Amino acid sequence: MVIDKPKVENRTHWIRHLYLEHFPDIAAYISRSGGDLEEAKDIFQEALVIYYEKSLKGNEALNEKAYLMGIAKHLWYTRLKELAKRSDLDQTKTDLSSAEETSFSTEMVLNLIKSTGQRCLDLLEAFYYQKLSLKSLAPQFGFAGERSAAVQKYKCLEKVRDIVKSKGLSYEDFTE
Amino acid sequence: MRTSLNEMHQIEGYLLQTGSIEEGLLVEAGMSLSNDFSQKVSAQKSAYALIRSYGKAKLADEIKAVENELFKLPRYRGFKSAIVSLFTK
Repeated sequence: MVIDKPKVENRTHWIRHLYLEHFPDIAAYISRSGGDLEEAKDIFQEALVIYYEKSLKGNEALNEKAYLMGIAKHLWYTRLKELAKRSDLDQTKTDLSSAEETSFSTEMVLNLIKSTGQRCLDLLEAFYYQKLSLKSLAPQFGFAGERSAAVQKYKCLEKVRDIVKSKGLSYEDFTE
Repeated sequence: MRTSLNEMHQIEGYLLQTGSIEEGLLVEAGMSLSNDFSQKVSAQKSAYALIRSYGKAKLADEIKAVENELFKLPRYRGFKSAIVSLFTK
């Protein structure tokens, strides 16, 4: 079964298909490489996010199975390298700083969601992340048409932008 | 659209490379002339990054929900045991 366009209405279906079809091979690879089930799940999750974002850009993988396995192998190799590097550092110090970074970003995101409203953020996410058209989003969000959806989208973006500006946040605060 | 929204549209074209070259040049000129405008461009760029982070987190939650389904629902028992057996030595 080939599902090549992960649109909002069938995204869960698309994820389930990929899980059932490809997770067994990737889990077998991680197991052979010394990883455990939780690590296999993490790697697969990251691989799915990468694959999803690639497919949104219109870059369809010619061989879905090989592509996902390639990403998973790369992610696993990177993880092992990072683990080896971390073992050379002060473990406690590293753990503390990464915990601080996570809570900082999460807090910011949550505050922004509260300030702008969930619906606003969902509209922005659907348009800018999922790359759904304003035409398809208008009825979903209850707008009269594409133009109203466009105006509302900019109003929502303006709210997020103003909060970012007022809090003195920078691009680096939200990028990995 | 009101002026500020038109301005956002113009900045968006520049940042996401969906606008014309002329509009992009106008944004660049505006940035060199006004610090306030420059800050708006920078904040808008951050807003897109934030939305992307939110989108990623939402997708990750959806993936985890599917994963839970596959490892918990009885109809996927065969799938689960095949996976678990890979890690049982």
